[in-house]
This record gives sequence, structure tokens and C-alpha cells, in this order.
Amino acid sequence: MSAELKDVSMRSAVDYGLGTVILIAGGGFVGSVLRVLVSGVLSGVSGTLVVNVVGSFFLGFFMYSLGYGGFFSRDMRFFVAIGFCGSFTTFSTFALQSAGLGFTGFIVNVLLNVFCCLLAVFAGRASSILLLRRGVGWS
Amino acid sequence: MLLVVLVGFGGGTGAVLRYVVSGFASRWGDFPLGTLVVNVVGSTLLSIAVCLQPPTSIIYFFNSGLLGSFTTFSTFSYETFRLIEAGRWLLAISNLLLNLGLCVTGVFFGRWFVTRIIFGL
Repeated sequence: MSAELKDVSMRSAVDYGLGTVILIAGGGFVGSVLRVLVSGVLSGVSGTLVVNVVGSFFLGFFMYSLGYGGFFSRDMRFFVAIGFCGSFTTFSTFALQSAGLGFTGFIVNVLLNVFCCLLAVFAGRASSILLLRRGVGWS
Repeated sequence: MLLVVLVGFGGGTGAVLRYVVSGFASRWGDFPLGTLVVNVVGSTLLSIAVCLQPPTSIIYFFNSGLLGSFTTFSTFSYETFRLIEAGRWLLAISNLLLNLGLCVTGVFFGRWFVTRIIFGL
């Protein structure tokens, strides 16, 4: 990778402008509706695992693409990363479901979510680098 | 359809609240404190809300929409991944264990709070 990864943390600056708030709320609207629709198809722990893994992949792909100066504008961070990915995935439902599983189920569910989501971020990072190497959207 | 709109408005509100709350406690050194705070608060409140057995419309707006969006797994896994990538293993493992441990503790606290303090059982 010839390009350097600029440090893009989830929030490099705190901005409470109206535009920012609308972008985050819009992403949150879409993300939460899709999460509830997925959990309607895959109920219980499997639905939560799926949204968490898919959301982590998207966030990894988006943030590394942004960090390498790829296809996305910085303002899309509010809609995609904080709004959509943040709301599509959920920690509260995951914690509640895990606590109700008993000891073995708890350990299995926690390990599955943590390992699969970390792997998904890695896969998102790898996809971003692959696309940028092929010259898609290089800026 | 109405229920979908309720989830959406709850989710939009939850996302903005997460942005504001995690902004107050965004970082402690290199530790991603903001995400930990929203996850622990959101998990505790969800446990309380579920134990109170509210009507369906409240469940969709508050439980699934607002609290589901207020907490986040993607930011948590991304921030943990960045710490691992930077070789900050101690911070990464602390972040993992603190999120898991405190959120589950929050769930049990929520249950205890509703049955003991609110219902006085």
C-alpha cells in the first residue's frame, strides 16, 4: 500500500450543526428499521449476530476507505458510520440476550459476536485496500 | 407500517443521543470511553425497560428503536480492531472485557432494580 492511512477515528471533531444532526438521525432511522426487519426474519441471537457482523464489515470497509482517501466524502461519516452502522448494530440487545442464555450459551454467544465482528472489520479493511489497489475511486 | 416508523424515529433519536453522550466522554487517553459509556447505560436501560413490560408501541420506539441505536457493536469492534492493529493489546483487551463485563452487570442491575426497588418484591 503506497498511500498512508490518515488517522480517521469515529469522531475527530465534535460538531453539533443542524446538518450533522440530520445526517446522523437519517442514518439512524434507516439502520434501526433494517435491524428490526432482519430480526423479524432471524429472531433471537442469530438475528443480532447477523446485524452485528454485517454492520461491522460495512463500518470497517467505510472507515478504511475514508482513511486511505478513497471513495467517500468526510460528511458521509455522519450518515454511514455513526448513523447507519451504529444503529444497525446493537450492544444492548446482545447483552440482554447473552445474559439470558445460561453459562455455556453466554460464553458461546459472546465469543461468536466478538470474533466474527473483529474478523468482519478485518474483512472490510481488506476489501477496501483491494478495491483501492485496483484503482476504484482513487483520489 | 406505523411500527416501522416508530422504530425509525426511535432509532434516529438514539443515534443522535449516542453522538452527543459519547462526545462528552469520547476518549480517556487512547481508551474509547464514549462507546463504553453508551453501551453500559443503554444495556442497563434496556433491561429496566424490558422488565417493566411496556405496551407494544413503546417497545418498538424505545426498546428496539432508541436503545437499540443508542448502543453500538460496530463502533465497539472497529475501535477494538484499531487498538489491536496498533499493537495496544492491553487497551484492546481492557476495552473488550469492560464492555462485556459492565454491560452484562448493567442487565442484572436493571432486573434487580425493577423487581426490588420499583415493584418491591
